[in-house]
Amino acid sequence: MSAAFPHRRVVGISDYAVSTDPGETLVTYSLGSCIGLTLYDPEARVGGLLHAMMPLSSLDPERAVTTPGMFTDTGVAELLRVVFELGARRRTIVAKIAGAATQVDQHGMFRIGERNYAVLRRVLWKNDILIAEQDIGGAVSRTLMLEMATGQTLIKSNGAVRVL
Amino acid sequence: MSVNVLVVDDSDIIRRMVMKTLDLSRIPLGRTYQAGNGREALEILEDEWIDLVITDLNMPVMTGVEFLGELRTRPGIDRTPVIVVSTDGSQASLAELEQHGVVTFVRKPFTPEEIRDAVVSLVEIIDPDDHSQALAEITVDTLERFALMYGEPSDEVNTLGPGDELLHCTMRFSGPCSGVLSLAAPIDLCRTIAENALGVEGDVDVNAAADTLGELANMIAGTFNTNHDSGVRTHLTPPEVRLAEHGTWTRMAADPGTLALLVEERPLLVSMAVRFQR
Repeated sequence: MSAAFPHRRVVGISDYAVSTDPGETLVTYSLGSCIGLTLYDPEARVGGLLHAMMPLSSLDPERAVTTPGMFTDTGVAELLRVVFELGARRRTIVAKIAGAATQVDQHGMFRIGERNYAVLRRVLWKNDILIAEQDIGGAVSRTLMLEMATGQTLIKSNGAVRVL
Repeated sequence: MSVNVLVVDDSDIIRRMVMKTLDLSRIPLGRTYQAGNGREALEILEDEWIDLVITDLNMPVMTGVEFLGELRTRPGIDRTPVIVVSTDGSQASLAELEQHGVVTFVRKPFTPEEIRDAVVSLVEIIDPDDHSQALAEITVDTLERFALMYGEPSDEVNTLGPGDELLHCTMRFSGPCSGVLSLAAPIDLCRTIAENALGVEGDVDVNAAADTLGELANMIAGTFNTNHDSGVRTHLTPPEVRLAEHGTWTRMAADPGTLALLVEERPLLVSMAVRFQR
């Protein structure tokens, strides 16, 4: 029953979550210029989702300690650390990303979506992980989901849901 | 099947980026090679079996375009799939590359994922079929017809004595399919094959033994191509036979793609890398 009606765990802005529960779907809403990352290891059946707002933690190092998920650099590092702790492995992990829209200058920073994207790619590359799929840029707001029962990443934008 | 890749770029950092990307791409990666220009690349291509080349265009000594022009004239390696990675994405350059049979172009600066996607798309069309069964049948049949000897696939390839001297033969071929064939056998087996082919007892020196192994390779490669006849002329380069170390034998025997035969109690190793004309 739980797989048919998965429990939705909502990941807020500047937050992340991990799961090993096949009855669960991790979901985050309203990805604009923020960046969303799902990690899933199909062998270990470990998954995680991050919704980071700003590119670099150097902007506010103290905040980065209390809320690492706020920044792309510390958020990705923290999410990787936790999924590895749960048994995920670099060689099998699947990384998918969404967001980094260009429309909004909602945080008053120039090209924030592009910067979030660049920093995310930098951190993954340094961690020996290539991006399997991505849905980025444009001027849309996205909902990003990780379905733990299947390991599928789902994107909802403009009212339509699709598998990423 | 694993894929051997040659990366050609005069920039060390680009080569390292591409190598790291290959390593992370989750393709069945075999051996990787690096060259700093087209000349070095051709030397590696002549010596090693390469399934895929990833090359820059602007390089000293021999540019990428010169390299491609030369590559396409050399039998056996002329159909090697190539990915070009370059800053020069002009229409004129792309048209020239197309004439050299390049279908995949990645523009610098590239993301690792772009390289990965290009490699994956080509790896999918590099023939993944397993030819070991056909190769075994052709080899057994050739031994029977040529030397009146009986061979069969076997796991007992490490039956060499420490004093056994070995011969190793490689030859390239092109035609309906292009590839490289390697054979390895103890000299005494090569002598026996020669004696049986000639219908004599004894009286066969090491040169005749080497000649026999080369001829065996020639017949196996020729038959393989004939069996896949598509109207394309077959070109067989002369086999190169030399004395081999036991290390060569051990490496070849350890390769899961190598076919091991027992020919009247003596071991014979056969390996073939092949690609088909498309």
